[in-house]
Amino acid sequence: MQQSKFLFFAIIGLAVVVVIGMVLARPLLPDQPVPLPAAAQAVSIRVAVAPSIRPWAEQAARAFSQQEARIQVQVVEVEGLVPGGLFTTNPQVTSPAGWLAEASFVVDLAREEGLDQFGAAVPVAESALAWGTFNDKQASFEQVYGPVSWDSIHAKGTAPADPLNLVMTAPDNSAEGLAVLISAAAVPLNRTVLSAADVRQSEPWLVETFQDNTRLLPRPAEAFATQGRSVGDVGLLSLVTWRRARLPERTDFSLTPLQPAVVLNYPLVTWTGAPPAEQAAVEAFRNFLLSEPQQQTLADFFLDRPGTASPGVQADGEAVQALLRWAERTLR
Amino acid sequence: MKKYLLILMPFLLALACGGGDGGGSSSANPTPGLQPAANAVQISILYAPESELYMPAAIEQFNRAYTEGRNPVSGQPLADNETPIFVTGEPASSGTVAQGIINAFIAPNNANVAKPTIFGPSVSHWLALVNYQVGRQVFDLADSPPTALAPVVIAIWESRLKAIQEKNGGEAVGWEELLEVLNSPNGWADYNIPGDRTTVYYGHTDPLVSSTALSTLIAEFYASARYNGDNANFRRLALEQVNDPQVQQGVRNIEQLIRHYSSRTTEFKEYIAQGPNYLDFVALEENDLIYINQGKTAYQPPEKLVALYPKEGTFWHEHPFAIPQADWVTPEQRAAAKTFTDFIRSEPIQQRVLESGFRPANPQVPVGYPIVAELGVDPNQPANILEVPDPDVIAAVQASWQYVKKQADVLLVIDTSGSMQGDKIEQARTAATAFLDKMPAQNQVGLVTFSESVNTLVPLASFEGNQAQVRNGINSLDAQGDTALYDAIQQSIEILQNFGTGKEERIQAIVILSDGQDTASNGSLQQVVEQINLSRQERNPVIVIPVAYGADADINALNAIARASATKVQSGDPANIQKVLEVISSYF
Repeated sequence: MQQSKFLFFAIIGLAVVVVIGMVLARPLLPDQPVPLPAAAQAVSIRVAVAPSIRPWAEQAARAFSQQEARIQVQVVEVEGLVPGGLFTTNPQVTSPAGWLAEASFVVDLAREEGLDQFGAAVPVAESALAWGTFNDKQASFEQVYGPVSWDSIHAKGTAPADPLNLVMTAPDNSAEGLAVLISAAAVPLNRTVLSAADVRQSEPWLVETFQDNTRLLPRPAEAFATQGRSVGDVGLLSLVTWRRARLPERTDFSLTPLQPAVVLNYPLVTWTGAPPAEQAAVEAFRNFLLSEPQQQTLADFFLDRPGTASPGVQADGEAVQALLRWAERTLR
Repeated sequence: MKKYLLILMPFLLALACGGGDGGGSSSANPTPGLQPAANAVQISILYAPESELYMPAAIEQFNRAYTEGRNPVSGQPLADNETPIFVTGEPASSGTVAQGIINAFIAPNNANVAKPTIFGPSVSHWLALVNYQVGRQVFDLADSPPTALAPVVIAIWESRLKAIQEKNGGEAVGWEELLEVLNSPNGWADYNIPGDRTTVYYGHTDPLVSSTALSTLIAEFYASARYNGDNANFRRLALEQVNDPQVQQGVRNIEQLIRHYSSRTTEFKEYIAQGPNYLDFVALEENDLIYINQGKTAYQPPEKLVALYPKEGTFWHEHPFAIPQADWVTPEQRAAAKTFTDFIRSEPIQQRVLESGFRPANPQVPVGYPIVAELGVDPNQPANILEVPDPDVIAAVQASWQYVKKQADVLLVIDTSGSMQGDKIEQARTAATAFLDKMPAQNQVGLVTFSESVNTLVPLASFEGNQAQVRNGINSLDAQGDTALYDAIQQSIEILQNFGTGKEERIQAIVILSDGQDTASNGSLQQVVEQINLSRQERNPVIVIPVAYGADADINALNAIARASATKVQSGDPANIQKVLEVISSYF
């Protein structure tokens, strides 16, 4: 009996040493799974994902779920800008445990609109915005107004008898469209941080630039690629959108980085209303997304690594909300 | 000891495995045949008739993949939890389906009720109209992806377009230049086009049912508002412009180019393919023009048709797939409909879409043959696209149709000779009544019968006023005597030529239904043909549309008459005469 007890505690001790050893060694091994939070039981989580990053998130979720037997990640596509219908404090409804949003400013907007149970926004990918236009259209534009920029776009937008056709996504259901407005709103005030008061001050300039000059399309890059020059003078979209439509590969089409820059930084945030085990699982999934092998796959999905571009303008939730309301009133 | 080891075993096994594979999949057993699996999610699609070139084969391929246990989009075996999908589909006019969906919400007992899982019209105008008429968002336009692209073009004979371009110094051509041809004193002769016809022949379909016609009518309003409205540089057509009498008159002027209308694009494809004598130009989707130039119509075009992308602007038809927010679509069906949409937008299917003459909606499939100059189209056009107006504006454009369309003087001429006795005259009465049911009240209608003599049963007058008289006349038709076919046509032409004022601005047409050879006329076939030829030199020629009714009709004589009038003989029998006359009624 004494012997058995000894054997038992020896095995336990050995097992503990092995476990501790493995846990300590894992981060040092390049292609090993990332460390898991202590979770005694299998966890299945849903992560709400913006459409523009869904393909990357889905393959990552599959790889992660295969690698980490105790965590299953299911990707749910978010419809609209803020997933108000998905995340709720109503105990009858189970919210996803995480949200892979298009940009931190969208998370701030969600908080502003009452969804205040999101954790810290940690970017896992990135896409900057760029002007896109067919070369011949760009040449004729530049001949009159100079290089494509907010100033030259504003000049054409206010020119009599020379209508501007600026193509973008609708700001009320895409972060891309909101990013365009954040960048534009910073121009007349020459600010790098926007408040709601700044937005109100910029409104006349925004009206001159956008009202009656903007074409809001659900799939603008696809439209440029399939419908050609007829779509508009210039489009303003994220690089991921342009690349996905293969437009940068064309010799008759050019991209110009947007200044001041606003970046879609794709943060994965936890829903703090979710059970702790699920929150821990979201964090584990986030670590997996940030692991080198997953970061290397970003380019295959037309995305960039976080921190590739420096954001020129930041806007708080109140400012973003003010821009959204302005867009709802002014743009169609 | 054993107890402790048993407790430890799972832990040790887990350690030894170092985790595990939480994934895993297995392929479902393939199902033979194309019947839906018992657990299949069944969905239906009503798609635009133009898509018929590729849609049935695509649906079959999609269904076959599931019956063989594969996901049609990924090509991978079905996962354990993956439910098969089975699609049924049929073509239908976009306007008719749109009305059917509207009825499903607001008039569910109407004869035309449509409840598809996917509505695939040619253009998203219809989705906006449904939302507007129902009063809520039935379709999310932003979530209705395009599946095939085609700009609306004016299909015009190459020689005629070149003649116009030569005259205007190679500048861009649009509605303005086409109207100049009509208003030129000697018509085409002033453009060095040989022939004795001074007028212009233009055709388009019915904007209440046809996408091409609706887009064309909106484009005409845009053009007219630019030339006749207060502001030439507006961006989006507005309600006040549609209701502006000057703008409406401008559209009416464009519609003066019309030879006749039709409810079916197929009708025009076949008509124009017969050559410039039949139509000078017609509004079509670009793919229809390619179809004609590829020689796929019954008639082979004598010269190349080319696409005119009007300088004033046109519309893209994007063939969106839209899933209604309705109680007849379950969440499972919605998900299945999205899978089918992804399949139609996939590269292999989009390649087939391209081969059918459409531009692909998937940017991964580059535009190539048959979107080429040799087939009359320019892959770099259109350069100028019109903004889709708000739905209330589109509805107003549709509502204006009865006021801006070219109105018609129609003589219905019916053979009542002895050979029509029995079932023939009975069915002719029914068909003629159906013909009248579709006739707009603004037209002028008359009824002529002939046997051994010609009788004007109801003189030509406003159909609004003489409708009852014409219907009574049809109900009283009695068959007896000989056949004075030629005299009937000659006298009918004279009636139209001598009829009142304003006839220059109206379609003048004779629809003649005949079942046998002429046996009693004073005049001859040659005289009839000469009279028609003379009419063709006038600014507004009389159109004669012969209907060969039954096997004994004198098809040679009717063909000669149709050729002279640049129409074609429509063939009918007691079984289908109603349908034939219904189609002809849509010409007016």
